[in-house]
Amino acid sequence: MRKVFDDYRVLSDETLRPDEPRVEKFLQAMKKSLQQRDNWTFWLPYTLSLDTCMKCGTCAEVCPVYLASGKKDIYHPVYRSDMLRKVYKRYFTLPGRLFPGLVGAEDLTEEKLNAMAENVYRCTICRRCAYVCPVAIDNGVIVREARKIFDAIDIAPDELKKNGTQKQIKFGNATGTPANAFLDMIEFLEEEIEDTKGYKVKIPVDKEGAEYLLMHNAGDYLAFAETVMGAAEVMDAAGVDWTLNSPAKGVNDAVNYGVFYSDAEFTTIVKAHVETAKKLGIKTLVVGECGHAFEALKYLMLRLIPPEERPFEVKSILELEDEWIREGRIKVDPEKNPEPVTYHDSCKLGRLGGMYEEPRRILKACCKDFRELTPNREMSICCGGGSGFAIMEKGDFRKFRMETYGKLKAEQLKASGASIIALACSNCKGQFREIINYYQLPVRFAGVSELVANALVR
Amino acid sequence: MPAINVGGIEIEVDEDGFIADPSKWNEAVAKALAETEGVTELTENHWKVVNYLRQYYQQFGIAPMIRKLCKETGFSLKEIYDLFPSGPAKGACKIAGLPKPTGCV
Amino acid sequence: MDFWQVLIGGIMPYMAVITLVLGLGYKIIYWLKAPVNLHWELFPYPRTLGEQAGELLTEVFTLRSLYIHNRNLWLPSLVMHYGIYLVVFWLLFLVAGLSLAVYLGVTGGSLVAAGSLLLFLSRFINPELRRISGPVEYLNLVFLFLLAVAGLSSGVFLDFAFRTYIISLLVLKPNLSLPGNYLLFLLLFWLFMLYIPFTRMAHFAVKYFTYHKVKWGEVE
Repeated sequence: MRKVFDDYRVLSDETLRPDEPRVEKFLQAMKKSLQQRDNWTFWLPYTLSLDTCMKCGTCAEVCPVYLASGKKDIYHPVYRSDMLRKVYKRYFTLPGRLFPGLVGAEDLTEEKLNAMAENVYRCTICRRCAYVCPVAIDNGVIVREARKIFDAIDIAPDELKKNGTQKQIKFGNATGTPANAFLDMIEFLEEEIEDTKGYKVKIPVDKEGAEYLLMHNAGDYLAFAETVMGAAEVMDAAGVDWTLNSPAKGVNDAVNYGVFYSDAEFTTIVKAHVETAKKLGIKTLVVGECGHAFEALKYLMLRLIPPEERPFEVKSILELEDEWIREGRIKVDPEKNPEPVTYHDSCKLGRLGGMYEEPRRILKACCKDFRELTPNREMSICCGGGSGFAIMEKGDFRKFRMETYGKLKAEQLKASGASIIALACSNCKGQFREIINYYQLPVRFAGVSELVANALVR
Repeated sequence: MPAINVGGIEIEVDEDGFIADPSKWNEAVAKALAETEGVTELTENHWKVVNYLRQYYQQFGIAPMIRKLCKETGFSLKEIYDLFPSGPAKGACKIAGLPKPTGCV
Repeated sequence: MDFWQVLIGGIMPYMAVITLVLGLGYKIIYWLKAPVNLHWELFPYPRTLGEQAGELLTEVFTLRSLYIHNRNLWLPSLVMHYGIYLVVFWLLFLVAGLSLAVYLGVTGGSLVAAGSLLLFLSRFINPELRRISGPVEYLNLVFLFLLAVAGLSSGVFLDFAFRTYIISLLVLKPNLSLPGNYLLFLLLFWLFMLYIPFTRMAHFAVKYFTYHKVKWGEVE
């Protein structure tokens, strides 16, 4: 794969087709993206961000990629947005058509298209930039809109599309786990809980009319089983009426990669989630430890699906754990987690989701020695796993993630002195698993539910 | 489509180096795939993992949970990383001729 | 009658004001009618009208985000913006007949000149800023600088009697006996008014939407 932007390649040649003509179709798709009716979902922040960036560079002062790369100009958030903005000005604004040189309007060439297609997969859309911008311009939304335009001309990472959203619709989960394998996993997890904790927990599956349907990121069963086990133990200890669901009953994977790159895919999956919840007749959909799944179901879905068509509440497992600890529904003993623990605010749960204090209250109740990372909360630094990056490994991309976002997180982690980093998002877990390995840190990661389950007093 | 050479025969792999057609796997292919992963010798321990993966995949159509893999083979996760530097999903599954695991793993 | 007096003193003021009001008005209505976007808030955000007003005023009068995250630009930007606010107040005080107006005008003009010059130099000298700046970013600052300098050097800010001209405009009977060197200042002033609705000078209006419709969500 030849170099089209930097030393990495997220998109294979098969996907990007770097030597084929695509500019014409890109511009057609871009024209549609600027129309309110065709692209209403983010039309306002998108067009205002394209139009009104004052080029002050405040965003760059807080951008993790830019800073960690040593302020490489190609990773400057304005540089990235300008890749789309210059094209916007040239083809879709009057000054750009008349005096391109003056207003910074440029023709789109095939080479620039290649570079843009790659660069939009260097930003995780953590929106730290949007948070600090004096005019609230959002480079993240511009990146997402550019990804949507690329998707419209069939350029999207296969990890997100072919092996992501499309697989999820086909199999009920993005991992391709069939129902019999899923039930085998549940049986195994019940055995594991009994082996390690000494008590039996029955994990209900496909129970109709239950109060809580807990849906995990399906990858958690495969890669982060301790989170799934912990959550099951917590639900059991709380004595509530709950269930998991298998792919035989619809979608049993909380993920929605459409959040990262496509409204069309996003909508398809949200509708599948809603259908699944309605068919099971559950009252509350509980999102497991997955950041973008929480954003999708708690917030993004609200104005997409009218309330009468989604007759259930949505909560994060963290909200429930926080509630139950505070009201004494589950009892926890912090002495059972004696090691120093710190918490990483996942972008989707924190800055984009508003859940800062719930996980902290939980961890302070369940762990003897809780410490903060610095910075944290709304200024938390993205780990670099978001937007699906944690599962993208082609073209040396892991090295990019480790040398940019990963470097900053490793420093923060070391400075905290913690030996456990609590994470409530699968992409973060995937990324930190690599960071800890890459930087040989004497740290392990743990799901929040895992730590709660450790601390349970039954 | 890229390919690896196994004793003179070209075996197609996908962009991540996983075998394109799992039915073409055999021990020689495994050794060739191992080379691409920087594993120069497949020891008894390697084969224990590979065989368990293949058996589970043939039964269930998907790779097993990492936790189950560790339990059934008796290796800790660290030991699995020692045997397969890219880890259970990207390293061991590749050498065992499973398709690339998808989703957040 | 002198052509330039008529054009700059008599016709352009009305063109400029009408264009500014209609142009800005049209854009604001256009944005107000935009489809409601999906929830895309950034947390934490002020929830009540009072909290929102507080944050808005803090941002406008202290440029807090620059202070915290981009300190190098904070003071020149604050100076320039305060200068602009003072020039606006100069006009209002002039119309109201308050002699304090002159001090506001001169101070405002000086601050705008100083601020815009410093920002121009920052953009040019700082490599990070230079890389993201095109000709129009420099031109915007030059425009403001020339406007301020024209006002200062012509003496219009110092001239309380300029009030008669402004009042004459308001009663639709423009008094076209302006000193020659006021004309350049006025020309730049009206051109700036024409410039505002079609460019990023309207960012003060855009901010309402990016904050209240997107970043802070709609007030519940």
